[in-house]
Order: sequence, then structure tokens, then C-alpha cells
Amino acid sequence: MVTYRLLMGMLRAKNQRFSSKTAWNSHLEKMYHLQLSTHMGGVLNTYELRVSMRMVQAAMVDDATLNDQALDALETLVLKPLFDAQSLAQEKQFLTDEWTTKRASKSFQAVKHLSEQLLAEHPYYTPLVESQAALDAVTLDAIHDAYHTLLSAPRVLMQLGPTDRDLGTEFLTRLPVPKAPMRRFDAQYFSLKPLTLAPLEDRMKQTIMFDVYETHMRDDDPDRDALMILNQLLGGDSESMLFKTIRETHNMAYSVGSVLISQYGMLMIQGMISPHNQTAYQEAVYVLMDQLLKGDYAVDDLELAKQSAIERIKRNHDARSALMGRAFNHVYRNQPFDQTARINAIRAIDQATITNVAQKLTYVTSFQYGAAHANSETA
Amino acid sequence: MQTLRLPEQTWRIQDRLTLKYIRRAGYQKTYAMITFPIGGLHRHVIKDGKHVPIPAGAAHFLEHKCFEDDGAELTAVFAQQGASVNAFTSPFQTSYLFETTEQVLANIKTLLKLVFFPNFTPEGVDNEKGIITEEWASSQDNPFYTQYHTLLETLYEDHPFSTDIIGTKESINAMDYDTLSMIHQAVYQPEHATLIISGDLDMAPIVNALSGLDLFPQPSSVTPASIKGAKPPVIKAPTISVDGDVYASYWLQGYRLDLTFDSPEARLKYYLALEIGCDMLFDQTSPWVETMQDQGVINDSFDVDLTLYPEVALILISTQVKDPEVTKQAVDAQFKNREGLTEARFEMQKKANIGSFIYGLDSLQGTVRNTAFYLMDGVTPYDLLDMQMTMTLEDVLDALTQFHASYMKADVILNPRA
Repeated sequence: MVTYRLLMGMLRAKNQRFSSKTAWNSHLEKMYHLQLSTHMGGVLNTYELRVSMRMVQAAMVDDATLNDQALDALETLVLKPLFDAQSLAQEKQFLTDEWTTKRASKSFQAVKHLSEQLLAEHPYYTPLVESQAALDAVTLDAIHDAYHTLLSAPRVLMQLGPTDRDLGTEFLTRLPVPKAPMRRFDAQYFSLKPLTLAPLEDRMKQTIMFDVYETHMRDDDPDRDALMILNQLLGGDSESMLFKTIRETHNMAYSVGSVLISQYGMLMIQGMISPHNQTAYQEAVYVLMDQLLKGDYAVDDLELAKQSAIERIKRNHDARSALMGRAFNHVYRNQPFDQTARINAIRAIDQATITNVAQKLTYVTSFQYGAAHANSETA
Repeated sequence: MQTLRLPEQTWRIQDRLTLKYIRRAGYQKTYAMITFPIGGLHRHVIKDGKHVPIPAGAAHFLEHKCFEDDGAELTAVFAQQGASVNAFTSPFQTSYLFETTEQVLANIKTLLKLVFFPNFTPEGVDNEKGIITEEWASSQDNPFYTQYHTLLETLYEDHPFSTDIIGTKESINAMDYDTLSMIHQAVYQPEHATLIISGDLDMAPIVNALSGLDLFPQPSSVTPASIKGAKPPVIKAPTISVDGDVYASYWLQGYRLDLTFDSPEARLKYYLALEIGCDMLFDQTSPWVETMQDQGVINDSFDVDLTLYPEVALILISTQVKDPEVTKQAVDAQFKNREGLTEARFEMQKKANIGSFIYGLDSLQGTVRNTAFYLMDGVTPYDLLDMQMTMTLEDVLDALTQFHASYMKADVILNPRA
């Protein structure tokens, strides 16, 4: 995977037409700050390599040549790469430096340790950073191979915003024909193994406390929206059970909440807690999980969680990244682009459905990273 | 070039509150923000003609407490009305905001109730101390925060800017109900505030409704005071080293500017020229940056950040380093020699800034926040764009010359703990 990370960095940095970063970046700035970026991510066990272009409307700046120039720049980035030993060495150094800085973050260290312990054997596992040995071992030949894989890989193009020309389709015609069409992602599922993790002490004023549950739910599960509402109710925002109890009632934390990590079928509760509050925090979390399981919460709280989730969907209607994400999930994960049906489905979720989803949750692990526990016993 | 101005309208509600509406046709979401002129730097109010000191972190603490409604939280009301609410405190301002797709008028009324008639209690103030202390504690575990605040304490010893907006652990614990009430009475008056709304709305019924409601408190005899606190004539130390849980060395240099200007426009024009100058010297199109990266003097983390407020102007330069002294000398030399400040690059920079401005128009949040920030000086983001269009390379060079003749600097090196 580190090979692809390096490849994406090298594509972005310079190319055969602009062999210095300065020249390439200046070329883009002259096009009203044309933004060309590359990204590497993952969907289940598939790598996703993304090249993005953002440009101003040519008509807004009265520049009739801007569309052609932008298209040319995009083509240059993808089809005229510059792979040489110096560029590779420089990208390796950038990654090494970036990882070094990331390691200075306590929350990064905490999540890294937790994910390595919990997910190392998981087929979808993507390490937060890779080993220096793996980075050092990448050769120019490997970069060339990765680039040819990229060019022949199944692809999808998304275009958003008003335009007087279909630049995306024009760009596609200039690329080599892929070996295979893009296919839909099958919703796959792998189980997590329960684990006992010892706390890790670090020089900190607080401790980052994690509680991990497995959701046993795939992306195409009919109850996936109910799971989303369960998370909203438990720790999704400032009206959630965790926030109101831990922060507003007991004043034990500034930051507390829960997230769903669908890639691994995980629900994770996280709080930043001072040592003298750790025991009380942990007890409060278990009590809240028990209440969730028994349906022991106000129906009004559930209605508020549903409304907040619906409103978030509606507010995201205007958001660029959310629109792109919805389009992708519609085509390749069989999820609806129009959110009306989903909103109606969320409205219909009741306490019994939430309880049903809650009862599927299984405890996986707890982990504490940071200041020493005021009382060394952990639940 | 097409006009980049978005349609705007301004009203004076009940002749007390300024309401500005920025229309974004086709947007489903509405974003609204009310801003008050009190931030982390304010340390006094005027009561009975006398300056009364207020503790560090008071503006931020009050921001938290305005959400209390006699022990309950007003966030729930916004949620019931389909809105997401938030607030933030900067060195100069406190802002409260919501975004929603429905019930805009109801949410505006709730926002006005929150800021003008908060219902916090002495018990609620005491409870909040625990939460804000946890907020303070979470920043203490970040070594880069320690490095930044060491630099501020060095450059601005005993000035309010040297203290975190949150305050200190001691000032948080010393906060009390009466102090917060007095600050609220002084600053949270509609005459001092601006409400900015952006979205695709029919504003007439909203303005009509707001004009006929009892929304505002009685005028107060306590008033806000401008920022007090003399900047120290000299800096504490030119170079400081601190240890932290890091795995490389990091260099942070700050340049403090104490210039005075004839008008806000003159200040903004100077700041703009300085900003363009710093971009040309140090951004990713600068030949100097690429040379220094190739030589390992700086790395990809190299960053220049400008904090430009009416009372405080600070340029921060940071990077991971191998030899801080070599990097320091190279940066100082670039400020002096100004490699790459050509007419061609200046024109390129102008185009790039127009592009950035257009990208910014896509965001309701960015549009409203920028408008609120510049309103403090009675100008708009478009005025800044116009200023930029008439600016010359000579203006930029003059700004850098003035900067070079007047700054005070200090640097803090963050090293791995032995």
C-alpha cells in the first residue's frame, strides 16, 4: 500500500512537462488557483485512488481558455508522470517526516495501538502508518508497476457544478481503456475477536478511553439506518446520552461521544477523561449501554435523535463532498441517491427497532491510553 | 470579470440590531451567526465610568453559559427545531451560530433568546468549571500547543494575547456568576451585535416578525471597553528551547508587529500587502521553498501563518528541522533578500487569490464568518478583493520593507525529550 501512497504523492508533485514543484504549482496558480489533488483510501479490501480537480467557472473570470488549460493540466498530471530516483527519495522523506509528526499526537498513538491490536488480522485493515522498512523497500520499478495498474484499473468519474463543457467525459476519452469496468462492491463482513487490552501509560493530563462494540451489521443490512440512529442517540451529538450524562450532568469531560466505523463493523465510544474521573466514567458508560439495551430512555430522546439525523442529511444536501459521496454510494454500493425514502425510513424507526439493534451489539474491548489511572483497577 | 458580489440586504431591527442577509439562490441550508465584540483579549468593562477588570477566559466561559437555561441546555430546543447550534470565541469576538433547513424564524428567535436573555445560574457556573478545566487539560497534552504558547508568552509577556482564550486553570476556577452577569450586561446588547444570515429565504416575513417582538434587553449602563494591556517594550528571550514528546525537532519563529495606522482601511491594506508578500516569499510556488526543501533546510511541513487583528499582528513560521540555526538564518535571509518577488509572480498571485475568493463563495459558513470578521472594521470581503485588484508590487515591497524595519522576533525550538 505504501507504494500507492508514494505514487499519488509523486503524481501530484511534478511531471515531465513541469519538472520542478515550483514550475508546476505556478502553472496551476495562474489558472485562478486550479486545485489538483490526489488521494488514496480504501473501500473494504479494495484500494481507492482518487485524482480531483477543482476549478472556477471560466465565465466568472472571463477566461475563454481556462477549460482547455484545466483539462490539459489534469491530463498532464495523470499521463505525463515523472518517476525518477530523486523524486522517489524526496517523497519517501516527506512520508517519513509526516509519520514522525503524526507520532507526536497522543490520540494518534492511542488509535494506532488500538487498531494494531484489534484489527491487524482483519482483511480490510489499513494501518495508519506503515513501517519504515516497507517504505525504504519501494523501488522505482514498483512505482512504475503501480502506475500501470492505476491506468488500467476500473474507474469512475464524478463531476459536480455548472459547466459549459463536459470536461470529465473529454478527459476520459484521453485515458487508456481500463481492463475491466467498475463493479459494485459486495457488502462483505468479517467478525471481530473479543480482546483484553492492558492500559498504556503516557505522559498526559488526561486518558483517552475507548470502548469498542461489534455491530454485526453489513452495509446492506436493512437495519443500518436504525444502527445510525442508535449511535446518534448514544453519542452522536450534544443531545446524546453520553454527552448529557458524562459532560452536562457529571461535568467529567469536555469531549465524549461515539462513532460507527462501518469498514470494521464497529461502534466505538471515546472520551478524554482526567485520572480521578476514570472509574466513574467507565461505570457511567456501562450504565448507559445497559439503558440502551433495555430501552430505558425517553421516547422523546429517540425522536430528537431521529430528527437530528434527518436534519443532518438535509443540511448535507448542499455540501460538495456529501453530494459526491452519495453519487458514489448510489452507483457502486447500491444505495439510493435521493434521500427521501431514507428519511421516511428513519422516521419510522421505533424503540423496538433500536432495542433489536442494540441487542446485536457485542462487547469487543476497552482500552485506556494516557495518564495513569487514579485507581489501577479497570472494568 | 463578472461581478463576484452576492446579493445582500441590511436592516436595523427595532433600531437596535443590525441584520445582514446574504442571498444564496438554490441553497437548501440556512446559516445564521450573531457576533459580539468581546473575545479573549478583552479584560475590562466600564461600570460607573470606571474600568472594571475581568478575568482571563471570561468571554469563553460566558459563551458556554449562554447555552444554559436554568440548568437545562438550549441546544435541545434548536435540535427540536431542526437546527444544529454552536459557538466560538476568538481573540476579538464571540459568535453564536446555527444551521438549519427549516423553522428559520423560530431558530432566530431562540438564538436571540440565548444571547440576550440567558438563564444561567450560580450552580451552573460552578458545574461548568469542571467541563472547561477538562477542555483546558486536553490542550496541555499537545506538545505543539506548548511550543505555541511558550512563544506567545515570550513575545507578549503580561499582555492578554499571551494567555489562552480559555483562560488559565486558576482563572477558570475563580470565575463567578456575578462577573459573568456584569460582562453579559455590558457587551450583550443589540447595539454591539451583528446578525448575519445566508441562504435562500424570503426575508420580508422574518424581518416583519422580528420588528414586532420583544426581543432585546433594556439598554445597560455598563459598557464594553476597548482592549487594554500594554505590549512589553522588549521580548523576554530571543530563543527558547522546550522539550516534548516528539520524535524530531520543530522550529517556530514569531514576528511581532506593533504598527499604528491612520484608519482601518490603511491597516487592512497594509496587512493585505504583507500577506501577499509572505505568500510570494514562502508558498509552494516560491523557488526559495523548493531549494530549501531540496537542501533539507525545511521540509514539507514548512508553514507560514499570519494572525492579523487590529491590536495584534503576528507572523508565525514553522517547520520540522534538522538544524534550527541553519533554518533560522535561511528564513531571515529570504525576508531580507526577497528572492522571487517578480512582477510575473505578483500577477500570478492576484489570479490565485481571485480563485480562492470564488471557491470561498461556495460555503455559507465561510461567507458569513468572513463578513462578520471584516464588519468589525466596517468593510466587506469585497472591499478587500477590490483593494487587491488595485494593489501593485511596489505596495507589497513597501509593506515588507516596513515589516523588516519594525518587527520583534523570537523563536521556540521543540526538541524530543531526552
